Amino acid sequence: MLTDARALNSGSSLRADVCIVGGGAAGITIAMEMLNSDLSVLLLESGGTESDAATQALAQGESIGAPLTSLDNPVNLDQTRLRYLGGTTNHWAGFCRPLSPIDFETRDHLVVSGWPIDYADMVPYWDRAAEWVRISDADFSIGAWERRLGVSAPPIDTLAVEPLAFQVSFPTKFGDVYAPELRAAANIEVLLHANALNLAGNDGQRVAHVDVATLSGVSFTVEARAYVLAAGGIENARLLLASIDSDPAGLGNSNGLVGRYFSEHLQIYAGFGVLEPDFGEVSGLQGGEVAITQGRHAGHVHGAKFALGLTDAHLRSAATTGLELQFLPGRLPDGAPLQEQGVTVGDISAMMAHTGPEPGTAVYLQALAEQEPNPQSRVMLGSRTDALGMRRVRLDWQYTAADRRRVIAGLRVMAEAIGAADWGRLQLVPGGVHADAHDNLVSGELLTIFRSVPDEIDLSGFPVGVGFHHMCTTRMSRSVEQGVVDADCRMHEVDNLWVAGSSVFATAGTATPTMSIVALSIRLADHLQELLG
Amino acid sequence: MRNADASDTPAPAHGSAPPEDEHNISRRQVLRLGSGGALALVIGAGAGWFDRARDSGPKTLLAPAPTTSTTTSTTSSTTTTAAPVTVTGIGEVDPRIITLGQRVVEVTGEDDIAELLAQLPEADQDRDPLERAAARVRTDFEMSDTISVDGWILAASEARAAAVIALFCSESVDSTC
Ligand SMILES: Cc1cc2nc3c(=O)[nH]c(=O)nc-3n(C[C@H](O)[C@H](O)[C@H](O)COP(=O)(O)OP(=O)(O)OC[C@H]3O[C@@H](n4cnc5c(N)ncnc54)[C@H](O)[C@@H]3O)c2cc1C
Repeated sequence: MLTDARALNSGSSLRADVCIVGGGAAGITIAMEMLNSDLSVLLLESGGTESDAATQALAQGESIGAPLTSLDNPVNLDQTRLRYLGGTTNHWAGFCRPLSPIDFETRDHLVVSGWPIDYADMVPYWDRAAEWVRISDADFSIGAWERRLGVSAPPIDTLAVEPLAFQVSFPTKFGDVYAPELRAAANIEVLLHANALNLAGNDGQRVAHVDVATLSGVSFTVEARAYVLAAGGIENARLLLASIDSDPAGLGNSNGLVGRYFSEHLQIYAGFGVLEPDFGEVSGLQGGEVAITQGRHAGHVHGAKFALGLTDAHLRSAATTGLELQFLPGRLPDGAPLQEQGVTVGDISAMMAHTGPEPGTAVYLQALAEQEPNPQSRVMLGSRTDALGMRRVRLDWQYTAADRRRVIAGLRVMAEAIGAADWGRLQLVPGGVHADAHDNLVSGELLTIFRSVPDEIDLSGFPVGVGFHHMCTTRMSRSVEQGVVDADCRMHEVDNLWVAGSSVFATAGTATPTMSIVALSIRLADHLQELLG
Repeated sequence: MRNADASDTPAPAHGSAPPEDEHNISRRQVLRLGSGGALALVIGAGAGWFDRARDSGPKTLLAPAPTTSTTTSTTSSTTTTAAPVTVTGIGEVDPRIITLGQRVVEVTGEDDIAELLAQLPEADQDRDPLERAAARVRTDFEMSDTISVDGWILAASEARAAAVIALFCSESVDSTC
């Protein structure tokens, strides 16, 4: 059932087998997996079923590190996650792809890497995750993508570069989609407007109860056999750091690792390309629609897109980090970007007619890169407090010069693979790409007017935007010296507290995170049911 | 002059706009236009093509011709000695290729036709020049032998061929190369 916590009596103490903090993709998945089980589940959700400004303001914080931007526009912390039922899935783009095998491996060139679980451990969960996010299934092979859309993948498949298939959930807002079942559930109570403020610890090794408050002034506690933190990649760390009953450094933080290794996906507007296929074909490659044929969402339609990625083999041999490249045929003037300087799309098209494929389409390039784990990049608590008296987040996002160098090297590898495959030519202009971001954000179109200014290429200082993916702040590790949660997502130092969401990622990878968040949440739900059932 | 397989299709004059439907025509048709066929021929036929073209027109340029020498019994390599040849009549060139070539020269500082030609290997004469050009360009990309010009990642051979043409045209006495 859905209950408004503002109607509770202050001072109440609620009990359940499982208390989940946060009703986004992770929290709702865990609750839904426990639907009709013998376990009683209490899900605390900060917001209601709709967005409201006062609750959303609880997500504000300060950003003191690398600027948070998207398409040259500044982004505030409270725009990067949403605080009402469904969480940030209320405005996610729906791109789905699972993590890759390499992501789970130890990579010696990174300061920390390797998960305490293997890719094989995740395989049973991808199909189930596909169902919750409303895509066909867990077959992300390029062959499946070709079959589903009836198109051919670009002829690029080298040791270093491969085509990648995305399935796009036409944004599945978890709150809207699953609220009816949660409302009807006998064993699940979703408490709306209920903000967890503190995980009250006994001796730091167990949570005794959660202190909860509403913005209307009601406060109460929840006791459970198991607690699951599912408040998002930033708020998970914030809540642990704010829970200082037994240690001023926060709960489960004796090694100072809570909040560290904060990772984003580096988003780079990399430049332009002239490709062989014509616009229609590229659009087809980008945006086909596929109907789900089986399961609880049979008949629902999702999208399918492709990108290029560096192969796992290349990441190993070149000791580098992941990179994906998407080709977006925007509404460019005359099919080409505005180019006042240097060699233009037209010049390259003239050349390609004689040395390569016939030019068909001008596209712009959007790259998404993995950043190396960096302990200096971290979520902390600021000195200012929110309306509930909780210290606000202070985010110090850091990426390194080596991250930028790897992006540039990876893009060059991709440009060369595209040339070798006779598929086109790329112009890499990081730092010299300009978009009408405002128009894009307002009208919701693909990016519109682009300008390339080669004189502004800045290989060491090009703008890096955010991917809106908050990862690694309670990273999973074998030992307490290297991370915050163990292979079961249980806090190393707190026996009855588990963490769900991308904060447990040991390294970021390049896959958009939600599919993996959901898969890990299913795995956690199975584990808890076995443990408590 | 037109290149070897030129037909009656009119070639665009140097400086005129390319045909509207250029993106929709076949590769073969593009070659027939002659406007950039020279580019493929420079890559695909290399200096040998320049050599053969020497008597074809009034415009001349001195450039050293590459020669091939076998160095050992097990390996062979191509070396270049400077022998003056007259290069003429590479045909009418799409102005956009000249623009590209000029930028290649500016960016790389490589402004000597002879040296540029020397870096384009002696080609396999049995194959169609266009196929040779395409194969050569693919190999460059495979070998990461690429040049960045205003951010465009180009095969070294296509960039150098464009530079050769731009330099040649800048030396020519009129606007048609
Ligand atoms: C613009 C944008 C586009 C995106 N596109 C994609 C995409 O294409 N693909 C992809 O994989 N991912 C995408 N994401 C990321 C995706 O939205 C997140 O990965 C996903 O929502 C994370 O799920 P979560 O449950 O961990 O956190 P959230 O969805 O953020 O949910 C956390 C929930 O916890 C609640 N909460 C927080 N603090 C408390 C508290 N103290 N007490 C009680 N409740 C609390 C919040 O109200 C919220 O409902 C995008 C994000 C943005 C912003």
